[in-house]
Amino acid sequence: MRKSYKLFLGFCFLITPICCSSDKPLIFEPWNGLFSLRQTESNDTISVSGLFYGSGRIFIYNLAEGKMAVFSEEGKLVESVTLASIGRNTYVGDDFIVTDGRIVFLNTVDKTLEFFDQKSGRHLKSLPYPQDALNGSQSRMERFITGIFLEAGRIMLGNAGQMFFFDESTGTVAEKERIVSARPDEKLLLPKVVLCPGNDIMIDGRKKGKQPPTHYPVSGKRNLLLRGTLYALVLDKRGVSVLPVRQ
Amino acid sequence: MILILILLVSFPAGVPGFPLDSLFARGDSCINISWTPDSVNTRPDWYLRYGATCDSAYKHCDFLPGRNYRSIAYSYGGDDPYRLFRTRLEAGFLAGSHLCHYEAYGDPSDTVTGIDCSAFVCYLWNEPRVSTAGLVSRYPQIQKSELSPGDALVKSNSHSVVVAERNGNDLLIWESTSAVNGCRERIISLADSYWDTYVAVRDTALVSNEGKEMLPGGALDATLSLYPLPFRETLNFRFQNAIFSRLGVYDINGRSIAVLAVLDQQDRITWRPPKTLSCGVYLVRAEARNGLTVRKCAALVR
Repeated sequence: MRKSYKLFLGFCFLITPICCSSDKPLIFEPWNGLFSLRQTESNDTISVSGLFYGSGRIFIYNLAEGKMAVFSEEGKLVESVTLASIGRNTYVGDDFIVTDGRIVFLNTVDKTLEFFDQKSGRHLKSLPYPQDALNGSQSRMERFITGIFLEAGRIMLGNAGQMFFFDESTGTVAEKERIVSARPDEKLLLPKVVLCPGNDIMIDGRKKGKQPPTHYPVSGKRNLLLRGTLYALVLDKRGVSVLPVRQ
Repeated sequence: MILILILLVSFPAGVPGFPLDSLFARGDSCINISWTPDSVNTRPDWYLRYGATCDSAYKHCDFLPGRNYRSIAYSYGGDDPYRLFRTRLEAGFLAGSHLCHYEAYGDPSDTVTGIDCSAFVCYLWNEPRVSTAGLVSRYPQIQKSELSPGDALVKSNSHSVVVAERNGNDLLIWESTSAVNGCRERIISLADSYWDTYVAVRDTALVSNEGKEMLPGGALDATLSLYPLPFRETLNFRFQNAIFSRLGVYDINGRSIAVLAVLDQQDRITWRPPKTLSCGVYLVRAEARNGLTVRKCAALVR
């Protein structure tokens, strides 16, 4: 009896730091519920491709089913909207924002912005974006537009190095502010986070670690800033989590 | 062992390298061109007829009429280069059949297909078609830290991509995937645990030509002599009617052993390999103003 008591205490001693090391997730959805995994014909697995926070809502795009899940700031599911097909299986884009009741995807395959009605998921329009806007660099990678951002209600396109305002009415670069250097800040490019020993998710550089698990490819935003707290999207074997990042 | 090495050296006299620029040109072509099959290209009767002994999944065309596909879309089957694929499509050939159709009925003459992910890699490499498992078993594996443009990331029996550019952990990759109906480029990060399950492989026949105009491989090959073969203490390079600017010696895994600069008017070079050089087969890459060539040679134990 005494031996098993000691064993139990030892077990608690070992397991407690692991259990307490991570904060409670804002959102956790196990696989095969709201979110699922889908095997492509090429045997690759697709799932959730990114998230966005805006207008008091958290949006998570499920590439596997072409659905947008909308959560409240408290992490409660508000609705799930099926987006209309643009003719490429469930793919409509890599990164997205939500503005003026529209979901706007950056489609890097066709080099277009795809606009959807936020409530119905109806495809509103497809607008080509300028591919040569970041032409200053020799590097193909540095010229590649990987992200779409929202700055004071205006659409910005770019990557971790440079961005430009996109004029939706003309489908061109807004000339006055042609190119701006992209600097990681709290609004647009959120800092990278890493998974540290002990399962703490922290801002990269504050502690050594590796990127949080993405057992499945993520092409869009992985972080969001909500009431001063940074959160990270984690896709692991259990499901989809949005976890607070330790400051 | 020595006999095997001598045979290796004697018969495959030259292995013309496929230039990286050509690989990039193919990659660019694949991601920038799109096509839309019509009802003639996707006649359901053919698939119903020829899919009869195959699984029910094979009783349809992979491609849908009126839907847009980006370059060479994913599908088991043939491996037409893009231009041939497009020409056949315009002539009313069928677009897309499955491996089952090929195994059961051979390659019907009026059927063309897209290329799957591993065939896309082979097409860019200008190599015979193999599966993802074949890419892993046939080509030498390298460390991910060594990945450079032209190399591939492969997950056996799953997916494969080709590296177009690298900046630290970030890679610009090309792939053929059904997720987007064809080929695409995108940026990935090796820091993502998702890529831990992939291995890096290299086609050692790829050679960098840094934008130079190429001569046919055989023409340049004839101008370079290596002797003695196999070699022990020294390896001599002699050039005829060609001005080589640089010679490189690589092991069979593509690792650089030596790089030798060639001076103007120089028509021969003697290389003394390090005493630690192992017995085995090595590749010599000779770079000229107007092309390059790759040769095999063997070192004997000294």
